[in-house]
Amino acid sequence: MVRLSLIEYWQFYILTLLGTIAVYLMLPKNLNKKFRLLRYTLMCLFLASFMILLFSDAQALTIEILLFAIFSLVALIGAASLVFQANPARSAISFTLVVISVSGLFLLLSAPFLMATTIIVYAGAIIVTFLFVLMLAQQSVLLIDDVQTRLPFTATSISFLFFLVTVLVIQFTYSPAQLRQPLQAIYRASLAATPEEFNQIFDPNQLNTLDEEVSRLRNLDNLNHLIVYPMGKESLNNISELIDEVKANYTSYQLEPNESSYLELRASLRKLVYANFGRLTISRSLSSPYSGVASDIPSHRIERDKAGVPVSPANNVSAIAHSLYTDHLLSIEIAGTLLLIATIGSVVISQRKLELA
Amino acid sequence: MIPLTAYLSVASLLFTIGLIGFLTRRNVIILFLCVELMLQGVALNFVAFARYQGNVTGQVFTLMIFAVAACESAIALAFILLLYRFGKSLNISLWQSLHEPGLPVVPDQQPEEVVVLVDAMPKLPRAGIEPGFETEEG
Repeated sequence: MVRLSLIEYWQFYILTLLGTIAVYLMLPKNLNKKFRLLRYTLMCLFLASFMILLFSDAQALTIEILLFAIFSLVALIGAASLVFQANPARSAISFTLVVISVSGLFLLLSAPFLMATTIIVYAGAIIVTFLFVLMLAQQSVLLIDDVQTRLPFTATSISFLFFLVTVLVIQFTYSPAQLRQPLQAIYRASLAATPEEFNQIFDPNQLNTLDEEVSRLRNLDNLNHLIVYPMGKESLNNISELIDEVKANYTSYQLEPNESSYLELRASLRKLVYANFGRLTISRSLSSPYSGVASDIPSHRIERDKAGVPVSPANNVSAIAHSLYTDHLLSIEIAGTLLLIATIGSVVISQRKLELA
Repeated sequence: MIPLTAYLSVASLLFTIGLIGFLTRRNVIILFLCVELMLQGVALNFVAFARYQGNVTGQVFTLMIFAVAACESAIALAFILLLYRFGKSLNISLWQSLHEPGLPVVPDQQPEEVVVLVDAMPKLPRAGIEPGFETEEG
């Protein structure tokens, strides 16, 4: 029914191939200096093309995109250095780099509490513990264990196959907001109670008419992009009919703007909004309003700011606290118990039997 | 505005690099660092979804991931110390004998050339001795 054009995503196949070769050459089995320049060049090329591919349809270089690129590049370079480094102590330090730049990404996602927690828990506690154990267990010379690898080519190619599948699914499922804008316009139109309110949203004398938005919905590559919502019971033919109905009602409303024709138009608009584009409808969301927008609300009906980003609670810490101690009370109790058991367990495992001389 | 796909792709690449490290490297400590790296990718996914749905449940889930990661590292490091006490090495291939009997042993790929073992840790001079000339202790 829906044509998945895999050829369109040819850049990702080349990217995966490039990544496989670069990572295979970078793995620490090749300590010799033969391909040194080649493998560093390939790795840089891979990361750069990955970044460029992510923002291939961005209009302008905003400061947000710049920050995102810096943080994610540093995170990826740190991750690569963790895996390719022969010396475990340096790997642990590279992991700190990853953690700090990922917490920068958390800050961009407006999660300052998680940023602080990540730095404290990971960079503070976990890395120090790792280094401590390393100090206890590692000899002072580079061992052969740190240079040998197991099945490097198989592991790299299988992992990058996984990467390719994930990225393709991400591109198919959550590709940028081609659908969101017309759907949002239609949703706003369906909320209007009277013809006057409706005319305020869609002024018939202005360019941004409902007709145009609905046509845009129709023209989205032969409804191909409707796969942005997981498929459910509604078929695409059905949605096509609904779009036709809206267009017909809108034409009759424009010809004859009175109460009854408006009511018909609104009814058809609501039908289109609640069709959810085949999204599987969850009957009831399990979380309360304390956690924010319920998960059963389709993404075009979420309240958004001008840039199209959902409105998130201004006070992040208190929002998390509300959610933790209302919706997730049992989970946090269980997490506390888990930490207690882990403490006891690690003491029991690592204790040495004392023998009296 | 950054699309959700950008965050998800970066998270998936972090996960992939962690996976490669976990499958190929032989040092136990690096294996656990790679697991933590994969967890970072997953956490980034959760936070990105939370942001783009306008819901903090993803952030709460990330807090749970932190709790589990802390437990995991506590247990794992105790375990690594125990293994080191038995085997005097951090190489995980030493414990291959724990597998099911009758299976073939997977060989590790040795480095292509004879590796010059260099000092991994820097050697500091003893406190109070001016570095740069030989002393009796060497």
